[in-house]
Amino acid sequence: MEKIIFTGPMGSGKTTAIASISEIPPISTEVRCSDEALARKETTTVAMDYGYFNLDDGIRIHLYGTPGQERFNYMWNILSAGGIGLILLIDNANISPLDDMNFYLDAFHEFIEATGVVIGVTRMDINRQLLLEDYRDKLLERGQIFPVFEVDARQSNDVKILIHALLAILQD
Amino acid sequence: MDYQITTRALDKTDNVFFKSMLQLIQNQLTQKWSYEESAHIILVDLEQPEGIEFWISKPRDVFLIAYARQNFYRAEWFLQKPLRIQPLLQLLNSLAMLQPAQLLINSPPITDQPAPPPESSSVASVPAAALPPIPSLFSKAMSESEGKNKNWLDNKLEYFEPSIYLLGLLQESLVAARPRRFSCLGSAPLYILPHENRCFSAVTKMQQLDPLQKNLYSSYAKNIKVIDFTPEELLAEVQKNALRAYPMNTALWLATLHCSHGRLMLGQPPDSVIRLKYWPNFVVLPHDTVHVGLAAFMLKNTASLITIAQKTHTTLETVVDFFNACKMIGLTIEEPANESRLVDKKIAEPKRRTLKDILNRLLR
Repeated sequence: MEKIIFTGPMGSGKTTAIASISEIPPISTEVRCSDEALARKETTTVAMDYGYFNLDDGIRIHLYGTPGQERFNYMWNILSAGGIGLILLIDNANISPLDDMNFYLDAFHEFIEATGVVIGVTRMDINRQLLLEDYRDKLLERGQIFPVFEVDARQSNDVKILIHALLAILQD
Repeated sequence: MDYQITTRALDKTDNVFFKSMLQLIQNQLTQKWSYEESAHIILVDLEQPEGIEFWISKPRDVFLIAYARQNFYRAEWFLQKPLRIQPLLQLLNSLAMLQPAQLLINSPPITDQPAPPPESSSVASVPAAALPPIPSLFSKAMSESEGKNKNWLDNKLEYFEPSIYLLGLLQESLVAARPRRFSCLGSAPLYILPHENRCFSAVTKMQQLDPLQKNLYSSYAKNIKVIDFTPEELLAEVQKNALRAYPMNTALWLATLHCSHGRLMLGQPPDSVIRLKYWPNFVVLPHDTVHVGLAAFMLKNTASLITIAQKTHTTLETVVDFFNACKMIGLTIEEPANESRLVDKKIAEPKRRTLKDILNRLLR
């Protein structure tokens, strides 16, 4: 089973990104937020998002979006097991986007070591508190160089660039 | 024997200087040389569109000498800019040693080159074109071993001078922090706002420039109309024409990619090994599929341009263009030639094929 994992904090655009490239409307397991997250989003993913696209030879590439809230993090390892690689989406309008990035890179550290990760920063048009250079500098502090792109999760072309970069990393 | 020589496309200063220098060195020449308005030995300025046009038209019954800062066209007879006494002396004395017949049958050693950019006053119906590339050199290099390629690269190095293209105008404007508009016939104008590090264009998809739109980015500076604005005036134009904003790097990247033609930028050491500091932001940098693969390789590996081309199965011309563009926007790190570091690839072939299939599916 070939799958690409989308992760990131709540509201970063995981569900939207999958929807932009999936051949089917993504299957979402969303419920209404009941906690402080309600102020930011009405609904949140509790288990996973799922979509796919098919290759010419019939192989299906599965797209899994992890739940964003940390209390559902037990799903992260389950979903990522056997995955091709990770797309990490970070909301630049969050309070601490760099902390978010650090958190998810640490949480998926083993998976990233075995495969690869590409980082897409969303909502930079809404809030330019940080620039891409800030993310790159933070990665350098961690001793890591991963692709970091400013993306609009609604644009399939932007999501394809993320996956393209992920594939290039994996092939090289 | 008396020899006559003339010039073609030299600017006024160079022309006057050449005539003066010719008179000055007469008593050191082995034969008598005079400047005539019409002569069959012609010194051609290959950094001027008129000169290039003349050169590649392969005129009959003339003997051409290339004149430029670098021997871009690998001409057999070449005089380097700026004009200096000793090189001119050596050139003319060497020519005087040829058989008279040889001086009449020489033709430019260039084949299959597209037409150069005409003067701006004559471009009404013909789009401007960039300095022609020399792809045959690079396909030859790709078929040889690295050792041979290295020798080739040392001996047959090709460079270009950014200042004679749009790229040079952009760089100058950024240094001077001047808001400007750049335009040439047939292309959507480009506006730049240096203090905001942004540029603006009517083009909505920089990733899919058509040939006319590409003209501006490949044009000689001489063919580009430049207009200065105040920041307020420029932003008013942007609003009036509903122009789209891009990072400044997008313009620099495009201008470099479209004027490189497989040549290194002047002053670039040929044998340094290079790697990327971080990924080019391909969301805003128009690119081909091959560029993503090059980025992945050049981030993990420190290697020469030839090695990069060989390992990624890409033409050296493409690698050079990509390297130039990355360097222009500050993405490259260069190290001494003996610091090459290559990482072994670990991926199994079936997996590689699957990944390639995924990519093909996404790009459809």
